[in-house]
Amino acid sequence: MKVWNYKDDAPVIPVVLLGKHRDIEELALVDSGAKHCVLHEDYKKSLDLDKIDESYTRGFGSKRKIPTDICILSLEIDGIIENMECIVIKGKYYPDDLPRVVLGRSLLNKFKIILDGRNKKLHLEYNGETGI
Amino acid sequence: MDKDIEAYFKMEKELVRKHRGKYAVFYNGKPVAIEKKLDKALEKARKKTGARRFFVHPLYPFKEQVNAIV
Repeated sequence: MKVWNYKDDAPVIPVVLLGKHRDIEELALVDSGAKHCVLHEDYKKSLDLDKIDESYTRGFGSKRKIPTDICILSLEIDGIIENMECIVIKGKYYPDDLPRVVLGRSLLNKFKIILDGRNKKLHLEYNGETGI
Repeated sequence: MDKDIEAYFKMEKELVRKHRGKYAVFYNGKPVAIEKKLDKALEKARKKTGARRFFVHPLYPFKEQVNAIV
């Protein structure tokens, strides 16, 4: 089991976003209330991710549904690589000061996660077997 | 990455004051590019280091970022 300390009272973990020609390391916000993983448009462009579909979503400070792209993202957490669909939100709809990578249940459901808020620690276990 | 994250938080206040809203790219515990466009920052970092993997973070106070309701 891997354990990370919260940062500024928030459960964030370091991830590597794997692109075609370059990889980006970032701190991702763990958001169990989000159905999907979310990525800022700039990261999609820099990673050269292919769009597989389009959709609409709510949230991110907007009362209306906002158009999104759907991409397949390869993401590495402490050496474990997972591929999943992620929602890409265009820069003009993405509030400037929000985390650029949000991990939702499309990824989180592949792990066992404990948010130990009292001790400000996040515990994460892969498949209940492989400690990461 | 831990080295870069540590370096980022040590420098965050100063970087945000000087370059708020831009992207900072770190490599081996040092900032190697700061640009408004992420693509440009990464390309600059690649030319400077020859690497393909970098720690990236937009320059806003981290506290503000994680206080938001997504």
